[in-house]
Amino acid sequence: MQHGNLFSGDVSELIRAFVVENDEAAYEQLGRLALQRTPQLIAYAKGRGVPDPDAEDLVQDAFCDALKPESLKAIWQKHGEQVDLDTHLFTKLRGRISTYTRKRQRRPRHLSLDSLLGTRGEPTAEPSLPALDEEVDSRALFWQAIYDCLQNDLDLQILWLATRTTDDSGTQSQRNCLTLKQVAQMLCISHDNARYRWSQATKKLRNCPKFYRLCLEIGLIDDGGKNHA
Amino acid sequence: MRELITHEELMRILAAIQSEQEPSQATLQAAAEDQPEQPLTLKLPEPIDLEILVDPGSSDTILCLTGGEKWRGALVQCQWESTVGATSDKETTGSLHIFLLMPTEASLGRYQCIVTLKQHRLETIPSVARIVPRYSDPKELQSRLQSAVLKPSAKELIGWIDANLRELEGTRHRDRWMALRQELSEGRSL
Repeated sequence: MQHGNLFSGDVSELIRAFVVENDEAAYEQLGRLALQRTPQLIAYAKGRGVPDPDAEDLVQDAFCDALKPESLKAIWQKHGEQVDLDTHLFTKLRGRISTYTRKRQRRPRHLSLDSLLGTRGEPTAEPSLPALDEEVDSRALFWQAIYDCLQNDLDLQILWLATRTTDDSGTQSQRNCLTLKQVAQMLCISHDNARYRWSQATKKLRNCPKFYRLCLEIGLIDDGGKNHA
Repeated sequence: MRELITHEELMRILAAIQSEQEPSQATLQAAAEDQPEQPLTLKLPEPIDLEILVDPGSSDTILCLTGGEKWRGALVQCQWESTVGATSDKETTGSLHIFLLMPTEASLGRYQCIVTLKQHRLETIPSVARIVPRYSDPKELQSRLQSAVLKPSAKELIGWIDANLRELEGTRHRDRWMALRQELSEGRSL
């Protein structure tokens, strides 16, 4: 049996075959599929500020973590056929980056506002990478899934900015809310363009299996026994 | 074909995620009132990959943006829906927007820009948008630049346009970008 697509439903079958039947061939196939994600994982680590050689090391460590038999068993027991190897790999990598980041925090990093401006007393405002926890992981996975579905920076920004409000009525009773017209102004595109892109982007997301699976996994929606397959 | 998620479900999901990561208005106000020196931060995960820090002082406000590779050399618009004129006798509220150019040099893989907004006490985390030249309309940008409280110099904007010329190849707005560049170089646009 060939499994060429990391995101196909066959991945869950491979994990099941290994966990339940101890199928070594399935395990090897999982390893090969995971390796296909190496460039994206390294790029992700580098995007989080991990220098090049360290990024490769962290990705290797994440592979080891993710492909441990007990780890595969745990995600199979937790998610069953909804298991997503991609999510699993990125979660393990985030854990590795988190540990790496905590260690680095003992060293000098970005300049603090105080040192740059020389106007305040105790240095409390140093920008830093977030301490990654499960909640941050879920949010990161969520937005990554949206980006993977939309494959467009502009659409991602429209979605991000526009969903800080509830509708496009133009009634702004709350702060930090933008209408689609305001979103268009912020991105310097036409209102019509923003409306069209919003419509297309939300339609894509509503029909995206990966996004749907992730929402289920992190508990944002309840399948309720529906069979969406 | 039946949709996997209804529009209503999607809106509910997005609202839930957004409300989790946004500091509440009450939190922001409490921070501003109880600990006026305490910066407010919002960390947006990848693929947005941006940290927004607002340090509200008694009269000025310091804004710090720190982002990953996507923010390298980016032209960024920040907007606050509510601001307070801190030094005038009569305080006013209203919308305010600024433009920033992120650096092209990284520090440990992160790109950081810090600005001070004089005489503005900002009460909220701003909305932040990265201008995508391939899709943006130079006329819209020009209009927004003209009303911005803070913006890069004409020379810096010309540099930004030049740095993005390759991305503009084949776009319908390319000629308008070149026209804007010309206006900037002649000192007519801002």
